[in-house]
Amino acid sequence: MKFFKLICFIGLVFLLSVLSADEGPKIMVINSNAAVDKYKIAQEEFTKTISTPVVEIDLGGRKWKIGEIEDLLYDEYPDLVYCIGTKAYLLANKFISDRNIVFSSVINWHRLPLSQKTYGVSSELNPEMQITLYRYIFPGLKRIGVLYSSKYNKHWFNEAQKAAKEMGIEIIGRSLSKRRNTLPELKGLLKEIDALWLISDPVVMSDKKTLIEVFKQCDISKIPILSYHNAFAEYGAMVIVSVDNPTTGRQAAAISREVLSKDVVRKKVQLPAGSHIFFNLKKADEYGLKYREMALSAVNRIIE
Amino acid sequence: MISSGSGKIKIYFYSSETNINNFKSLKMEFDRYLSKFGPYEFQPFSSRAVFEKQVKGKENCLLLLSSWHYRHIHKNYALKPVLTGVRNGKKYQRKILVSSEKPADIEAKPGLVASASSLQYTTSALKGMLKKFAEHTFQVLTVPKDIDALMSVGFGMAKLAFASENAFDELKGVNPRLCNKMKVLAEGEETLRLILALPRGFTANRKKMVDMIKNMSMDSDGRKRIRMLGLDGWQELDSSDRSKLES
Repeated sequence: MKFFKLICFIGLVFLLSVLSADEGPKIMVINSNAAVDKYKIAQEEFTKTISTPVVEIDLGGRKWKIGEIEDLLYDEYPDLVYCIGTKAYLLANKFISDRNIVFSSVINWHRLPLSQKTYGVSSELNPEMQITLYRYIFPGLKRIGVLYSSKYNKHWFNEAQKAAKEMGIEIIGRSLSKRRNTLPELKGLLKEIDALWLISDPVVMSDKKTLIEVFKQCDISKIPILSYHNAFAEYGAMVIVSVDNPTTGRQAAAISREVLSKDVVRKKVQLPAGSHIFFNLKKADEYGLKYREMALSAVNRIIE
Repeated sequence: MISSGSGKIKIYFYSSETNINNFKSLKMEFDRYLSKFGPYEFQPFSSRAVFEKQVKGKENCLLLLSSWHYRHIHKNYALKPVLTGVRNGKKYQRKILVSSEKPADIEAKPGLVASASSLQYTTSALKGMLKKFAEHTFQVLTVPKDIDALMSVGFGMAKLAFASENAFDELKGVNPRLCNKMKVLAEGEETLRLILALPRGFTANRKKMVDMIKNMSMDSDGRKRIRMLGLDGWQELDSSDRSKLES
């Protein structure tokens, strides 16, 4: 009997050693809410690209108690966690910040608490990328107007102005201190510019009424609006350059592979590698704007 | 009157060389344009496997596919090339490999390659372009457009970009500072652009259909549609093109 038990024990040890030798890195995906399309797409592309089994958690799927998540994270104790959205990242960082964490789909990642093992894909294209793509569609673009508040966007504005200058484009800015200044400042600006670049700024876009009026005034003056979010398509934006969500998931997978293979990750938080372009061709024709016809092959959504 | 069994003749489209992700716009715009000529339907695909499954055994249809893809399937699918796409008057194009790092560093360890082409096409082309790619493992990051691949190198998201020479030239014109940081490390062979092919058993009015595609560049609506495919016209293939394509 003793001999039989010994054989069984040796067999079990052997089996466990074989299993653990075959085991790849343990990867977990935490999605802040998989019902949100862009989060869902990023997750799908990540899992497809990483091509390793992953443990997936949807924080939006049901009501989680904080203790449950804590237990789950410690039980799994993954080698790497891909966190989609701020909520997912904050939880992973709270409990297992000693593990590799890759994030994406986080607005303004600079405000996040980061650890030595934090990596990510930013949700914002930098100003130079955006100007490059606007110029790619409108090669004749020379003067772009920007309404901004120094409180939120001074640094961004300076960076955009510098990048534009290198491309022979002048960024003409109007710094606003009060919400009610948006429309009066826009009126003056419209006389000096070829296009208005609508950026994310709570002082400039304080309410829907102001936003509608900005679009209306630009339309009267036939000044195209360039922007960053697909929500502005319905208001009449001419070109919208935003982040391509499937690419974000693939990029997070590429970073994860580098981290797990202990390669040097040159940039811990990267700019998004893929862009999504919306172009209102109908409006461009109405305004009589000259655009690069070949750029149509790079446009994801065309209104004609 | 042209007609297939289902009443509509389909134009199936899949490109291994470009990551077409404007399917909705492509389909809507092509369908609207083609409806002026008869019962035609444009059907774009994002997956090579699904495209091949759909076209297998079909005879009264048109196929738009890359020259690389055509070479791989024309025998099994009994296809015949009819037209090739043209851009700036040229039937041929070249892919390049661009990096902001020194060639020696790339040879030692290729790293991440950003590409808007399919994974299969990128891998096969890269191995032909740089011997080291046949020896090392390298990762490909699929991006939506050639310009994204090039910007990925310029802004440090990827070590290398696999893109068309045209796209690099265009980016040089838009943002020369960014391109000054990049060097062309290798060039691929010249290949024909998009191919319009017909199944050998095609029985519908061949001339009418081919003319419809060939003449797209003659009117502004047609020109806009073919620009969406990155082309500005169509040309017939000569014997030299055919032999290169089917060799």
